[in-house]
Amino acid sequence: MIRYMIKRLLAMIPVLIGITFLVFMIMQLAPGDPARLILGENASPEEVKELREQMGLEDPVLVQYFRYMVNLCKGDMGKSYITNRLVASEVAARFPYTLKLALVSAAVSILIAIPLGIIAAVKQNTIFDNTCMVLSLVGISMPAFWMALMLVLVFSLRLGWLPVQGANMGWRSYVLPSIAIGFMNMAAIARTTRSSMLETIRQDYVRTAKSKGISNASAILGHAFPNALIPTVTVVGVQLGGLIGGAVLTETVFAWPGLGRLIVQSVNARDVPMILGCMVVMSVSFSVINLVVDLLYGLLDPRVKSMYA
Amino acid sequence: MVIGSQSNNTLEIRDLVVEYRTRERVVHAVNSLSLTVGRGQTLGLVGETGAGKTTTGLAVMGLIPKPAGVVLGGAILLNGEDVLHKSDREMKQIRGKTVSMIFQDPMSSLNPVMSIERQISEAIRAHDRSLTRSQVLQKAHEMLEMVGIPRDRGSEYPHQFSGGMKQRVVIAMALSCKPDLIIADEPTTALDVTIQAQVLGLMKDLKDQYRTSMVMITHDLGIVAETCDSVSVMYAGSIVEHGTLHDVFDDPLHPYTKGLFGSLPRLDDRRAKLQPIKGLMPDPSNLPTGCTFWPRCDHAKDVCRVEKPNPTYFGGEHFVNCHLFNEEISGARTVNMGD
Repeated sequence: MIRYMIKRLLAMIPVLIGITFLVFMIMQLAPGDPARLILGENASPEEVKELREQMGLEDPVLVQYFRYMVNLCKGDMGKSYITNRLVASEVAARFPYTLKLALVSAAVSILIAIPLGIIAAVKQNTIFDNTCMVLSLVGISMPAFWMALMLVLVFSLRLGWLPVQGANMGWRSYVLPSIAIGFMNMAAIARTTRSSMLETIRQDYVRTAKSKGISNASAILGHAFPNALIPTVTVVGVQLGGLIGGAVLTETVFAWPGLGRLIVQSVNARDVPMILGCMVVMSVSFSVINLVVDLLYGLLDPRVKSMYA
Repeated sequence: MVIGSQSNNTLEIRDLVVEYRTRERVVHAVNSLSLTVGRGQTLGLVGETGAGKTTTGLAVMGLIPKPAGVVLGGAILLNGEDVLHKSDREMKQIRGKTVSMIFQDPMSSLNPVMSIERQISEAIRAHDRSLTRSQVLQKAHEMLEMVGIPRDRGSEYPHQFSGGMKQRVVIAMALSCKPDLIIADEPTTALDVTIQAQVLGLMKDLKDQYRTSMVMITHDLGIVAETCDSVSVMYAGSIVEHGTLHDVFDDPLHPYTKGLFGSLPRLDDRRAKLQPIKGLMPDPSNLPTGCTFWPRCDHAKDVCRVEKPNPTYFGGEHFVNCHLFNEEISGARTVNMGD
């Protein structure tokens, strides 16, 4: 197991090199000159050239990339072109907000969606099941940012129960953003849980369990559910990765001080070091979550675990 | 015998009717089936796939898949008590404790993500809450050793065992609460022949040791000869012939029973051709009128197509449901059936 973990952690290195390289190259293609951006429209060409040399922008791209990677290994992500602040400290300040929001919304959606999925499967084709499935279809079809706007309109502006935006009002600040992000995920988790439960509650081993004299509920929760968990864990893992990198629209709507909003601001300002910094942190988080999910498979299913050895 | 009284029989099924209803059709899985298993006896329930053998077993367990499966009538007396009138709570007590079932495919009848000792412990704990955790585990390990699996393998998972070993685990689980009756649903069909013999031997030993009654559901007459005291031959959801092992093997009467024996290759006469029964089992959602076997029967008469045959007894428990024997009991044995 430990060997497997080390192997997986090492395998993250090429992934990160690939991602940074890709992002670096794309930023090269983007129009606009950082030096011109910093100095403003009125700077003379000589001044711009001088700054470019200072910033190392005159060197070949590969040299620039190599220099960036060497610094990255030392924990130095460079400075923002715009604010001149350290990228590392800026990202470190924003990341916890994104992570917290992601975890809260994932926890809420898991806690609601899994029981719903199980009950819907057990009561297949009843009103409860149909209602759940229609609602989750709505949930999947509704864009998160639209949902966010509607929530703000109703609960913040009309009813005045919850803050419109920002993260400075304790748990109240988390309610609307996590619902906006979590609703779609909840729908997907419920549907996945339901469909894999439908499969497992018909398995022979559930019948065997019942034949031992245990209750219907323990047969379903103790035998069918653990076997149905793997697809659900896969979905949750992908979602969590998405939440860390992809809550851009929702963070923008709620003016959430997280990575998603930082990356939008940085792209608008062509703040290359900041964009790169955000991308690196997001992709590392994504890889780590993937690793955790894979390790969870091993815990959930001994057959997978024996393949690691 | 009076219904509800303490009887000498572990299991008595009377006129059981089970249907599966789907939107399109009604499948008549079990049609007025009656059978009896004496205390400590093994009854072989023999028939082709689709004859309703498994459904009968599941009905005794109260595990007919709902909502499609419906028990329409009849009585299932376990130690004299009708399980069809038990509440869910009472059925929970009965399953595993009074009657347990060994299922056909050991590959799929064990939970792949739970260690085998936990799966056995669960059965023990379900019927004895007074035991501590370690006592339960101890008992589970004893059961494992009894079926020939070392106790230190208890923490392993089903995928780490071979098919035969898995079936041993299932047997350990079924016996863990010393049930009065075991329903073994083709327990060796999914296993290699050599392993089959081992598992059957084990089941026989354990059954004798615990004086358990057993219903051996199988389509294999060899297994019946090996393990059973009496035999019920099942066709299209009801019993067509019943008798002791000797009655049925030495003197099969029903054309279907004869057909089953005719379908077996013989070692003593290797030139003899197999004589398979012509045709297929009737569609259980569209059973023929009269005797359900007449479309495949070489001796079918007009009466067979219209009237259901009644049992004709031939001394002891041996009976046959066939019109060929119905008219004149005295002359029945001399009916020439071309063999």
